[in-house]
Amino acid sequence: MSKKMSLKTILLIFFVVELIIAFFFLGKTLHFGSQKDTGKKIWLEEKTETMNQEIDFDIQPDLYVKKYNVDEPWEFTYGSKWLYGKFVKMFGDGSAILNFRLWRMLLYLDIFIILAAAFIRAKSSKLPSKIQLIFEMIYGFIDDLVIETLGENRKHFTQFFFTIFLFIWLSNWTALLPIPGISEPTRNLNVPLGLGFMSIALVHFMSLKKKGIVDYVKGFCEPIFIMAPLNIVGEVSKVISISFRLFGNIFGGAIITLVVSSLTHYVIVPVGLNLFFTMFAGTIQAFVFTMLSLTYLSMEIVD
Amino acid sequence: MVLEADILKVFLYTGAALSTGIASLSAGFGEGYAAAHTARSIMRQPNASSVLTRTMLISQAVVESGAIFALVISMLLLFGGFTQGGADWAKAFSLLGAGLAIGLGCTGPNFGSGYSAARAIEGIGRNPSKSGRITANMLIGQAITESGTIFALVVSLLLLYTVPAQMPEPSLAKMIMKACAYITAGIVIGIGTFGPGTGIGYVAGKANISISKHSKDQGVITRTMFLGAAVSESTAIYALVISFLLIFVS
Repeated sequence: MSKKMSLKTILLIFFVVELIIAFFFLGKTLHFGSQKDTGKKIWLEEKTETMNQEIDFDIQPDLYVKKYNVDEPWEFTYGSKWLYGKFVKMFGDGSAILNFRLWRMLLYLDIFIILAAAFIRAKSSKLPSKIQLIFEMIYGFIDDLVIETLGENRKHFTQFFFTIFLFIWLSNWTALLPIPGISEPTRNLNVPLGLGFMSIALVHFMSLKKKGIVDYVKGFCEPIFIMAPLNIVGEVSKVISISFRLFGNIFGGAIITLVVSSLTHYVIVPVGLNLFFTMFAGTIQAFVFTMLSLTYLSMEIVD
Repeated sequence: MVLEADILKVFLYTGAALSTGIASLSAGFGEGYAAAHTARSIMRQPNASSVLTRTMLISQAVVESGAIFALVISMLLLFGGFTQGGADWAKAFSLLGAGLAIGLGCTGPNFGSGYSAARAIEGIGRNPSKSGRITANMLIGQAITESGTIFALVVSLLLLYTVPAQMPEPSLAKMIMKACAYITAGIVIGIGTFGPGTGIGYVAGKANISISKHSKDQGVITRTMFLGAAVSESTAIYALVISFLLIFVS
């Protein structure tokens, strides 16, 4: 199998897994505890109608207990207990894997990006259309940035950084869609943390590849070997700062938009807030994330 | 030792007011400094007024993100439903500490990134043809300046959401000890990020002005800026470690 084919196969497998996780449970009942007086089972997916409610429940899950008068807020059973058990065994009872809204949003985004890529590739011509021009402009901008920072011989990193930029940018802009149940994937802390880990892991892998194992370990023992624990904490704090910056801006924007627009009864103000927090700050934060991971990489591999 | 809701509200309101109040003070100063230098540069280079105004708006949005974090913590304190579950003295002090942490913690970074923005705008005023490179460097510089704010935000969120509402086996001495630990965790990250924030802002500002003078050497200037910033940031990381220890180990 050629390299290109295997890459496509891996992507396809990821896509199918995502599809299964996002939609397998959806048709089933997602029980959410039993009501105190009647003993009736109610489920979460059907009960949150507006985005407003969803953010409320995001920040204070205790509201469920009060509102629906249920016994156990987090005890729910899934349609397929066997599959659920497998998941819990593999990934633990965390909320990252079992957060279906996040999976669905990521899936929508993936479908959008794949469709856009296919469409642009089919439609691209020497006389570019407007959409093609915009994407070529962004690609050219990031290409210039990579060449300027890493050098002409490491041009192949452009694809990685372009993908990261496009993903974060489109994620941040999903908040513009006025559909209930749609929220930015980056508002969930798991996504920025995953992206941050990915970038820093790439940096360390490239650094290890360039320096060799001895020099790589020596790099942690600067200026003297006693400082090694603090240097490791410094590396971890890179992940924290790069991912919490994105998360804080997007989550903060969402909370402020929600609170201020409900205080002003949703008249005009949300438009202005979305203009600033989603379109402006979202673009800048996507760019800052890309630039920071690019600069961390150049610190390690450029002489 | 569950507090009455009204006494808890005293802590919530004080925390919310202090957080946004202190943060707006420094953010306003930083943004005003950037705007003043924009006005001066437009006077010097009237032809470049559009690119100067654009850079000013972008840089002010980044300076403001510290104040936005503080506003978010304020709103979580006010509307987050902390009065419902019932809380003891330690939780009340942790809520106040969360407000103090983000309020004090974004002071230094806001001053610093305002300084960096002003120097970048001055640089563009001197050399408008290199505005792209200077803006890119300014954004990197402001981003690493703001990492102190991010640490403070992390500590605030931890104080809000990981501290239990009621202690398992309460006793008076333990309660006083826990309350002290939580509020000092907020104060240590608040004060500890002041120096690194202003310092890294100074480094970033000087790097911006250097790029406008010697734009060919942008690579080495940015890398040196990063190195200096990483070393000055280490004290903020010590403060972060200490406040983690205070929250989780005390």
